[in-house]
Amino acid sequence: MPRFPHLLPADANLWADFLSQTSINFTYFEYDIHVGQGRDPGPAFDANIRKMAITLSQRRIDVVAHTPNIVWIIEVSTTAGLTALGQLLAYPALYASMFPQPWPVLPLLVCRQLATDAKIPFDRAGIPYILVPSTPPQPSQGGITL
Amino acid sequence: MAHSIEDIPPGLRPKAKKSNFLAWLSVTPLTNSVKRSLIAAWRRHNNDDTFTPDDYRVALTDRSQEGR
Repeated sequence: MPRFPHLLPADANLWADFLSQTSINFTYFEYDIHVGQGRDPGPAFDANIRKMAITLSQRRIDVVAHTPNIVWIIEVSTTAGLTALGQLLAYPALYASMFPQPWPVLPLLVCRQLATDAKIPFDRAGIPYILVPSTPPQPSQGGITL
Repeated sequence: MAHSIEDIPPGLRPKAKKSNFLAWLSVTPLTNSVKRSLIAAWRRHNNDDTFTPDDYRVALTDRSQEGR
């Protein structure tokens, strides 16, 4: 059984590398956190079918990482593009609405590389990203230190 | 994120249950983007390269309202 069965294999390796390299003081992690209302197919369906459909259509946060004073909403993606950007713009708000926190809920991207045209939008949106090499880490320009 | 094999009912996860998995997708009221994500999870789990365009057609056809 993979260590992080909810992540794609390449993303699981990336996440394991990140955990082995980071110096951020995480206290605990939650994985595959469902947020949003999901899509209800309506009362024409049995209750169990409706429940399943809603669950399967909810948005899924890869990792919610807790530190003493920040909740990080983390998207893990080998090559991160504008899909990840959209997720990281939306998921903190959805998470905070479902699970109110006394601390800031902030987005964070963990990736190997940014896709073409992704750096400028990420920087403009102010969403931090960490580029995780397979070898010992180097801080990325525009990102935060591991 | 993508769906994982854990999102698929256990009885439909084995490779030998492909036809049942397709039938389940065809009658389950999910959007095609969710269905595609579930198919990808099933294929990763089974290291499957047997999905054909017809398989996708079956899976992505919404028959969930039939008989109602």
